[in-house]
Amino acid sequence: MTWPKTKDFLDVQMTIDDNIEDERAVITVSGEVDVYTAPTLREHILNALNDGVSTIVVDLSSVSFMDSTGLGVLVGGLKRLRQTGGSLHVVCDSEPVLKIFRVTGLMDVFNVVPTLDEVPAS
Amino acid sequence: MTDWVTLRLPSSAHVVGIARAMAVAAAATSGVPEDRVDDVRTCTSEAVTNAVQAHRRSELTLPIIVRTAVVGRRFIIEVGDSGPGIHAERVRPNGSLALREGGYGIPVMRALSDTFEMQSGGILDPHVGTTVRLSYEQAPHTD
Repeated sequence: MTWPKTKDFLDVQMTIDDNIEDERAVITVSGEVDVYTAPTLREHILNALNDGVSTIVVDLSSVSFMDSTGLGVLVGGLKRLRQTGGSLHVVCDSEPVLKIFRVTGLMDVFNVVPTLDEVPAS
Repeated sequence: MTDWVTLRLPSSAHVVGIARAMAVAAAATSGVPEDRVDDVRTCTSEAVTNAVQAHRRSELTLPIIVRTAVVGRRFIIEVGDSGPGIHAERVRPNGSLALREGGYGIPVMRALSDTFEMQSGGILDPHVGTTVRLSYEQAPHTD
């Protein structure tokens, strides 16, 4: 029996697509965000920041699970963007994922919206 | 005597998903209401993450123990580590609005369980580590 390599295992758990246009990055995440996969999400957010974007949209519509490790990564991105006057928006309509924003009091901090179309224009 | 279902996991981040899958399967077949099974999933993830991080900080290779049982009308899940123990200053109260990049695990577990306890002493060795114990009321009988 051949065990999957670490990277293959990570790909099964979470995938990320980036789309950077002008000064806005849309980071679309699928799968599960936890202590194992969250560092990859952090990397994508930092890459977008290094590219000089002023707005990051993290689309969690296809995320089936996220715990507070993922939330911490989003807070880190938000804090760095705020230092330069930028903003971070979250798209999510999954009740289990929304619950983690609600119980930590971060729902309003991120201005979470249910669809990409409802993200305010910068 | 309590009949525990026990999982011994290597102390590594990639096993947190395995612990979640086990806890969800156990909860779903132990009478936990459907709408609370997601809370079991989240709390297990938080507890095992804290355990993995405690082992990582202390460079421990000992396993992390996750076990579940039904006691009376309650589904119980325990996560035990062999880390250096609980630091009171790291246990922050609920409701702090300060933006921080970590430290949400314990408030989340408090909010998403019926009871939450954190005790000194692990499951492998009661003199070393920490055990987190969460409980969930079973769904009422419908017959």
